[in-house]
Amino acid sequence: MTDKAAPGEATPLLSVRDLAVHFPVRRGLLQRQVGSVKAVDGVSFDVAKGSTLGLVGESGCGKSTTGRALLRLVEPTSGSARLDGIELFTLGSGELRKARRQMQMIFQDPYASLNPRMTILDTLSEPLFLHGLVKGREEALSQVSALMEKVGLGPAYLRRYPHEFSGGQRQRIGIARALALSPKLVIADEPVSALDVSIQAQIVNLLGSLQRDLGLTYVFIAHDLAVVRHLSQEIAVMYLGRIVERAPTQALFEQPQHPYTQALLSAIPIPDPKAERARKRLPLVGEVPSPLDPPAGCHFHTRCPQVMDRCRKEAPLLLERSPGHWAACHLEAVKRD
Amino acid sequence: MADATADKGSALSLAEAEKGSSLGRDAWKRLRKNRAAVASGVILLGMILACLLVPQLSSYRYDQADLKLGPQPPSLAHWMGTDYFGRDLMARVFFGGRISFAVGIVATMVSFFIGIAWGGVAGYFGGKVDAILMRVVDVLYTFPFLILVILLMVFFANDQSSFYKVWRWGLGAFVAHPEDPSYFPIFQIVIVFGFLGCISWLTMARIVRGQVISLRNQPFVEAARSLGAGHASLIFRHLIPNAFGPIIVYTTLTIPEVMMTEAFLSFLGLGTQEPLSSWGLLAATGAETMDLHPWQLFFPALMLALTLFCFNFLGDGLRDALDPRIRKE
Amino acid sequence: MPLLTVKGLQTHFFTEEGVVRAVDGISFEVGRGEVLGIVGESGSGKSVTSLSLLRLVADPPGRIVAGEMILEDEKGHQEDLMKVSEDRMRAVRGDRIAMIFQDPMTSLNPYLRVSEQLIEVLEIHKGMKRKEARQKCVEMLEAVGIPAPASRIDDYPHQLSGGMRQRVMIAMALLCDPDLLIADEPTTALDVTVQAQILELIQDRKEALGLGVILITHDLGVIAKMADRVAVMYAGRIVEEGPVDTIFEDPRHPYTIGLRRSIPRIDDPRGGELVPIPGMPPSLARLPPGCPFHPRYAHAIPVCKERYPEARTIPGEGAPHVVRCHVEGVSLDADRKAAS
Repeated sequence: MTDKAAPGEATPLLSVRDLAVHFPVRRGLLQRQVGSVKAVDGVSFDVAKGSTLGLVGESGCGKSTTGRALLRLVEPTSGSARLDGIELFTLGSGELRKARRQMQMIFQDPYASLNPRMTILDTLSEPLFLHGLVKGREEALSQVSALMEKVGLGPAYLRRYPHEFSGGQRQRIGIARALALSPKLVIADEPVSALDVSIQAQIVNLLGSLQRDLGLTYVFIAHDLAVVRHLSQEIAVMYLGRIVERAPTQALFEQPQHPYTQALLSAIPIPDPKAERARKRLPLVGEVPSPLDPPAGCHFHTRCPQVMDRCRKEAPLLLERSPGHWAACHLEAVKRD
Repeated sequence: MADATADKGSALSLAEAEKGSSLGRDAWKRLRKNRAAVASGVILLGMILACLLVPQLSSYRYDQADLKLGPQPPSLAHWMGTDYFGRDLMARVFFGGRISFAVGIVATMVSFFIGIAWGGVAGYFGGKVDAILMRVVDVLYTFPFLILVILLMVFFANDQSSFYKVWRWGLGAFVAHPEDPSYFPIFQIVIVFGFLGCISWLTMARIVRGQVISLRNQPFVEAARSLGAGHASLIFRHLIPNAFGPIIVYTTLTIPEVMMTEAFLSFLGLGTQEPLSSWGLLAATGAETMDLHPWQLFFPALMLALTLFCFNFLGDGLRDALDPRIRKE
Repeated sequence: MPLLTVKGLQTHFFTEEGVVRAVDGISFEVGRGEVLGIVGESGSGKSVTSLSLLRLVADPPGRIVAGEMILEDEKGHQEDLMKVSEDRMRAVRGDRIAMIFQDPMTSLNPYLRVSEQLIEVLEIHKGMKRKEARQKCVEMLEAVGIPAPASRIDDYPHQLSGGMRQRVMIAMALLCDPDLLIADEPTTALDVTVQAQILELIQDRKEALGLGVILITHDLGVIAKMADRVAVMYAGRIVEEGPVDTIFEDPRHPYTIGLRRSIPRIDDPRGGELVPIPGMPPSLARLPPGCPFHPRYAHAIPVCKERYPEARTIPGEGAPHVVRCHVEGVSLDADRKAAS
């Protein structure tokens, strides 16, 4: 499942190949390993500098685990990830610490991602002190103030504690923290899912403008395709640990090649009653199977409306259907009706 | 340009550069409203002050005997009466209070530090480290500490032992001067009960470990890790401070527990020795003559009971004050 | 007469920080076989509304301080749920009005089998014997699409997936053939593909049983799909109300318009810009004077700070389109023009 960047393209900032994260399942008194949960099962993608890859899927698809594995918050079982030429998975702890400056994460839950006992000033200056970027409190204060301005919060809030802020403000603080070390790559793990609808737009816009101003590269993990659409140049759809389709945003929405993508798109309600009524529903039976015991062959075959015999035995490869548009499906040309 | 529609201060309070209200401050406000807890705190402070001041101000020394006087019920001369040797009971009670409190606080402080470090490391690392550290705790739990205390008492029986010399200038100094003949027995107590502190850290370790385990996968910890924070920083800067609620509550409940244990040991004759006093010792001697001289039992027992009640109410109040905010919002 | 008529409902919470006016005077109706969608974000008072309808508000610190909630049965007999006794209310809950909640894991007792929880409902309200009740429950589970219902009925909640648990919740709600179903964020915790199934199930059951449904959610897409009429809530009040098509095509309240323009859609034209609503929802304990939305509206006029707006009916067909706003001429087009 390797692919190379097409000739003429610049080298991508992030290159992931065959990433796998397996969690052992232990039973019994001696905690023997009886199997494993293949949370991520062979995932590959590239992200060009300054662009956004949207990583979408429902629960259990492995998108969050993928993000964490890139940052080595969970240890990958196999595979490789190159950030700006540096192989991330073989770094020792000292080098990893340095590499952490290049990649940061924005977390989903604004209520749990800030230490309740630390002031905002402390939370934001911690990375600066950890990496020796500032020498004293004065310097830290000025840099932190600049960070707060960037995310649209007044520096007057610095001595407050997280519980005094709203969800949207806390998420801004989380973004400021991610930017503190001036990383090149930011992995946003469901950054707006826990926010109110009227605040989501503010944060999405903020992420967009920060990307433009600072030249950031994003991996945007979400389950809400509509939100992902606004920021991503390319989208990868995951199902039970595998990427089933990967394409530039417009192509994915206009001509989805994988039955799961089609079902996903048809299941998302559109805030427009006339359009809703006019839509054709692509029915999807059953629920997402448990990652503990995924179906053989193509993981999606138990729910696929166009399942064939082959699908039950053989896992399809992720193949390029048209330039830049990849799909893992045995069906030849999956048309959208 | 950063998103200008961000809120720059409407829904929150007006004094912008003001220091934020930490969780601690909120808890303090809530605690103040709990009248039982506040009253208990005041009473405890009063008692500690009394223990420090009364023996100094009193015209009687705690070991000043008046054999001709003998045991007398409370009177204007002796507000709490006297004991068998004619010693003023009030002086003895408050002097004994110093020992009881000192023992309680010292032992608890020992357990505080050891327990936090032990439990914090175990909870954070998990796996083998956790298993080993906790097995040690389990084993120590089963130790019959009473026997150990007896052994220690025997071990320190000789005041020429090198151990005694080493600890000469230790904590007992605040209770009595080194040249004071009662100095030695004080060390005996302090060491024995420092040792008791070494036993009571076990539960603290378990509590801290449990808290750290529940916190270590929280996003803010992951965030710190992704920023490059090391183990020590994660344990002592992020995890432990967030576990303080149960830690503080347990600490305030440990103090009376240790005091009761000391009282119990003194009651058995294994703790404080004459001519020193502690509440337990006083209660023990008082119990012997309960029907003839009830005041000798009454006052030390009253002190013990009052202290226990107060610490318990305070602990309860602290738990209620600290609990709700530790959750979300 | 509609199935449920609510007039001037006010539910306040009396806390240390002051009085939180969670629901501050709302009125609406629900007819049989009709879905009323209540849209609101957190802090809008929508969940407290649903709890108030069933008088499940914790007292203290909450209390329904005013209002009428008139429930009408098939024979035309009406009763004001505000005034009936607690005994009568208990009979109403589950039997005439049923509710399903957002998180099926915490709404089902994890220690009891599904069968016990379902059978209990029938025993209490219909006085059925166990055997008969069990039979009815199995039928209901089948009707809500649970495969092999006769065996799954004996499962514990944790043995079922999220979607299945929600189906069980729906089954439990429909067991006594209620007249009104209140669904409070029924699909928010579910995956998108499962959400579609559950919503279709609710629609299907509504048609089969002629239920009235109050669907409470923050998701405009769900509203567009399910609702016949919509009420938009903000800071404890209904700011706009009308038929679903009208609310989406021709919203007249700045908040509704703001929501429309700030929500991303999968059928958006490429590169459509999201226009967020500036500021934040107000704290219900410290509402701004006058109209609570005025701090977030760029074109507020002086009277917005003084008085809460009266209801204004916008001429049109079908169910009335009512908006509460002082400013004239607010519309989607005007807003777009003003922004460009």
